[in-house]
Amino acid sequence: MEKREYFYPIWLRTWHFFNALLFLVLIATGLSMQYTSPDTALINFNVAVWLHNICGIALTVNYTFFAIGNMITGNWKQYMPGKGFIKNSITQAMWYSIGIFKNKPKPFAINLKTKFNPLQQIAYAAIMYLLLPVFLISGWGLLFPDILFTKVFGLNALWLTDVVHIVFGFFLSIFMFGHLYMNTIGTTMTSNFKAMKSGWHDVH
Amino acid sequence: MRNRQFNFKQIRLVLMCLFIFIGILNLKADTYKKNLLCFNCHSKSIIDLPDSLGKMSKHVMKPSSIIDEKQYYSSNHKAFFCSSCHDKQYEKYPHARDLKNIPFKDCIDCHNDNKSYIKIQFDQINLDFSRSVHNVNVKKFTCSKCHDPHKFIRNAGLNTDVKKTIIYDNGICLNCHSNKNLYKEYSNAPVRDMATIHDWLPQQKLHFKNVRCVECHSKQTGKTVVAHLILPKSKAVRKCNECHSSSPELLQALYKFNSKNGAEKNGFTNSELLEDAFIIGANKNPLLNLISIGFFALAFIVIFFHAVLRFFTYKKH
Repeated sequence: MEKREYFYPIWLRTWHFFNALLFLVLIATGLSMQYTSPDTALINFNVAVWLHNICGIALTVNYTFFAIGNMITGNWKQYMPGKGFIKNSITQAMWYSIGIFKNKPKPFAINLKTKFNPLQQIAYAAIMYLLLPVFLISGWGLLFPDILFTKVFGLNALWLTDVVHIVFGFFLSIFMFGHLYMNTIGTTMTSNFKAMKSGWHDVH
Repeated sequence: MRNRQFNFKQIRLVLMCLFIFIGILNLKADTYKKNLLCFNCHSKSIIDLPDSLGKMSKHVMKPSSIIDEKQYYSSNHKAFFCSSCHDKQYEKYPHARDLKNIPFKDCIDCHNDNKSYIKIQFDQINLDFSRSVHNVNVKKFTCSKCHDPHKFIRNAGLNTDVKKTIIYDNGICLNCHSNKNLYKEYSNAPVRDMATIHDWLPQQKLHFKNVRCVECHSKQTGKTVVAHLILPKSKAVRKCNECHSSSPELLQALYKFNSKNGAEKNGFTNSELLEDAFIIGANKNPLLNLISIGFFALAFIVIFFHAVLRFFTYKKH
């Protein structure tokens, strides 16, 4: 028996939409800047820098909005792994790698109190509370290089910040592609996308 | 006997060194003594000068005629008499009025055809300068307008501290281009604020601190130490990719003496640039690139096979 629950309030969907949009622009402009050359620039360097800076600032504003929304609505609890999360994460991973092909039911039912499965909880918590903040801080460091130290442990601080920014940006990009695919694993291929559009999610 | 001969050789060597040393000291002292006559007036802003009746009165020295003695004796030309470049008649005081019409020696007069300066390629510098905006647009522009022989210290190619070279070389440009009084001697146009005319440049402060004006405002034509073909404003580099790319122009200019053709250090390409800066597009790490491509490829393969398996198992059930 399937029913629908209002999982994603408007503030969360708005944040999620802008987060996705900004990320796509940041990936395109970031790659264009890193692999630029006078003959084969994906996007004009000046435009890429300008867009990357604007979207980076917008992403920070959007993240602040998410953090405040999380605190006010109590949404932060969704990202907190519960008891036995390692064992549960393994169970969930086994379902993704084997169970799904045997048409076995999902090991963890989701509801308004627990909207994410254990693997999602860990992944989203790492992304939202570790990777993204470091990524944003390093981005601000590159936007205002004067605020950086000149050297860190004898290394050029600008270089170090840039490497951190690129490596974290790379992991976030990988996550984004994985996230897009994983969301096709719903009641139907498109049900999760529709849920993020309307806010109503199918629950078993 | 042998010992005596040996001692005699030793004494001869010591005496020779002593004579050379005394000679240098003497030469230095001679230069200093002779130049002091000039510096007595030319290091001051107000001097006593006799009028046509021989009466002494105070005169203000033209700013361009005031020479900083300390700077002169720290410069590359410190061993020269003033009269090596200025006419010998200047040694007479007060100077004859028509002396102003006698041109000073130009740098090329000494530096051209001098075997010691082959590497610097003064011929090419002279050719580039003749085609530069400074020569084309400004009347009577000479080397000394930028390279004041009273202060000149050769920096580029010798100084391993790139930051010092940047400060020194940019100082030469800013000396006129941010100095209202000096600029109007060469141009009728008002001197414009550097930050304002470069407001299109992202990370302006960072660029000003880490590259020289000539990197974008000149064209390297030969193997000269520093490009002297200063381009008109309309032809200055505005394409960021010329530096922000795998083969950055900066390696042919500012970092040419550190450059080892895109050498890698700590796994980064164009690592010469890493010492003082990090240039997006120029510094890439091939290993990190390979790992990232590998990760992406792996992610896509996993997703592809997962999707295919899902498709077939879904049909079966």
